[in-house]
Amino acid sequence: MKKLTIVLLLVLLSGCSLMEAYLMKYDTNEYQYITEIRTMSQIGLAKCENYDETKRKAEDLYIKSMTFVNFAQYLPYNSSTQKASVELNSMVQGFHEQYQKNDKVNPLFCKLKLGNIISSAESMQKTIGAKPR
Amino acid sequence: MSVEQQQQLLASVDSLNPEANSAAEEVNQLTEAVKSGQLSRAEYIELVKDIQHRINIHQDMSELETLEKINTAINGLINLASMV
Repeated sequence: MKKLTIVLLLVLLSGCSLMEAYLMKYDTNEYQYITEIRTMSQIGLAKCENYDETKRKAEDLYIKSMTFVNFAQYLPYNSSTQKASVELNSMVQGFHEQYQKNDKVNPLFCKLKLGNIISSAESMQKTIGAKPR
Repeated sequence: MSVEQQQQLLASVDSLNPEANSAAEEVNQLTEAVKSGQLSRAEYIELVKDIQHRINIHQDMSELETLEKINTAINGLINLASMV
């Protein structure tokens, strides 16, 4: 009863942010998606010199990243991850498009782009992994 | 403003926020790479856009970290209240 009273009080006093803080939960699938995006990008980094292989990997990475956006989209109390997943997907989409539009892509671009995706995915992984169980 | 003037402006960035300094330095490095032909204009634009995406992700994750701390505090308070 005390717990219920405190929770009701907090909800009444604050609004959405505090409610989100109290009700958000760690999601294994969400954590898995961001881990896979980071891992696929790390593996891709070593293959930047190979256009055909990187083009295929860019397609796979884009599908994974879009799935992550769609997965996070309707999870309740998840607004920060939803926004970050859209940002990350924009980065991956830009990478994918370069390989769709061009017959040749600069390996330096590939390395810098994947480096950006890896660092962002790692930062997201760290925070998403710390969500309350 | 010319490219050089824009670069000078970026080089003069001396923020207390290390992320802002790092972003300014990175844009300058990318600009040098496009000037020397190491990157195409399209690649350059895409990589500069990434800097903004990374800043936005950083902000979203800072917000999430704050919520996680609030969650820990709320649960701690509830536990304490339950013991009384």
